[in-house]
Amino acid sequence: MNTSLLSVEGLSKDFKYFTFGTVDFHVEIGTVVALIGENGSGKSTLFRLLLNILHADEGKITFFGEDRQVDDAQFKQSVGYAGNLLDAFPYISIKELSHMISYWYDNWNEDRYRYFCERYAIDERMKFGRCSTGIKKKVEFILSICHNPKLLILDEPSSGVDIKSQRKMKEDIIEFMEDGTRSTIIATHSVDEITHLSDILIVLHDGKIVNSMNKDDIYENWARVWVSDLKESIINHTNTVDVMYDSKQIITNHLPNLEQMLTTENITITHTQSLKIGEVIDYLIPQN
Amino acid sequence: MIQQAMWLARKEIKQQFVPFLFTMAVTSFFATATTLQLSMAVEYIFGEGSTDYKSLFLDLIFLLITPSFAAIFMSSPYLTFRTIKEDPFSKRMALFRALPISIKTLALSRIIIMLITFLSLSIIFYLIISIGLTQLSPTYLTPMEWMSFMVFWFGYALAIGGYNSFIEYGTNGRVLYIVPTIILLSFFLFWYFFRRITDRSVVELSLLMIKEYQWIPAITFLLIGIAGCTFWYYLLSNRLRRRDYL
Repeated sequence: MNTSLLSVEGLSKDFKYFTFGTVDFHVEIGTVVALIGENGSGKSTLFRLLLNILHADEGKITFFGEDRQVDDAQFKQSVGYAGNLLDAFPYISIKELSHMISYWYDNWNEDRYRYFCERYAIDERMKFGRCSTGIKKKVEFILSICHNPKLLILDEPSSGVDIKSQRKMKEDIIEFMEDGTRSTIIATHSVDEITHLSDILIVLHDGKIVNSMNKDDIYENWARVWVSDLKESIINHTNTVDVMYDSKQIITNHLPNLEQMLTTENITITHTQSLKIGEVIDYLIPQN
Repeated sequence: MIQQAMWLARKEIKQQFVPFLFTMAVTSFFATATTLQLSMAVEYIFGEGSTDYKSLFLDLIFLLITPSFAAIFMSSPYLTFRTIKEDPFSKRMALFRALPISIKTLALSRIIIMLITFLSLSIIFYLIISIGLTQLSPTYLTPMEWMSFMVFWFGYALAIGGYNSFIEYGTNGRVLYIVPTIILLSFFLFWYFFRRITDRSVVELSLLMIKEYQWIPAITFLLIGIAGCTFWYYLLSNRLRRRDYL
């Protein structure tokens, strides 16, 4: 059985001052992928390439095993995207905007749209250009989810959104994922979103994927370890990520391997502590 | 596909209703100014009028302005230099590209917008001139000749006008400003040499041609116009398939 919803192979694009890719990754059905990285690392570029808003130089994108290019419009029927594109129509109301977008989707659910507008307190009469950043983000989110997509692509959906609505968004994404047949890719800087929503973390840096891992693996393998002694072999061990000499602390990305090595070296572990996602992210994102 | 393209075109024109009205008003102004000059040109060529009319103005109107009737030229992207940086046409297309709309539908909708704009503005333009000319110089051009003249220039503008859609949606904000500037400069160069070689303006020559060949040049240019329109559709489709929208 094919469990891959989206597969990206050899995706690349050259810009004047930036090279994106080559990027390869897969999105399994039923998973939430968190795309993390510094500003300008290529997260939005990746989304735009996926949706053909930018034309890739190289690469193949398959959706449920089918080449996306074969029927681009059909592919987009199954994709919901919230990525700051609505600003192109500042002069029309949210109602007009929703009408202009909903027309193109076979599965548009108007009741669901009404429900979300009420849930997020959206005044449809407002011109989009006059909305605050938070309201714009909420409208984008609503318009991306009401046609029951198979793949939801969210570019920093909660940036500038009030805390209450952030919580609602999180609930709605969890509900969206509930039946296990859909997937979400979310570009985010929010540790809270990564912690509560994602299954897989992909780290982009300078247009390239530098890390890709299962969130559960992070909880299992990443740890802060206090040891009785610091030897060269431990400091230079492949699974040692960071060392704090004063307090004899080691940050490891694979606790079982490190433990084995420490036993071999006759070094005692005095204390172990799991790392929080936010702490791990600091180590995953390379520093410029 | 046609139905969807029509729907999108109607929707966008409705959104641009106020700029569209302003464009109509400015077109009416152009038409009024043209009427007087054209009447003088007709009198000069076929009667005993003086040469003291603005042949450059007439050539500018018919060669450059009438193809611009294919664009809502009084809308904000044409009136502010912010367009160079913000590129509003591409941004709109980026949203459409993220929706399940095929490239063919998208390109066709652009051509339909162009045609609706072009037909509306051309009708206003030629209607005003027609009414004005019947008041000013009824004897020199027969209604048939006047019709041929209109169809001739309508066909020309239709053939060229599609470039507006291509520039708006196929390129970026910078090109939207650069290309018209290049065209304007090229026009003055062309006009200068044309005038020196033929001792006539382009509009004068077109009037003489219509007088002599009646419908033939008009029909020819109308066909060229239709072919041009089709050409711009394919060119735009091709471009939309390959371009970056942001």
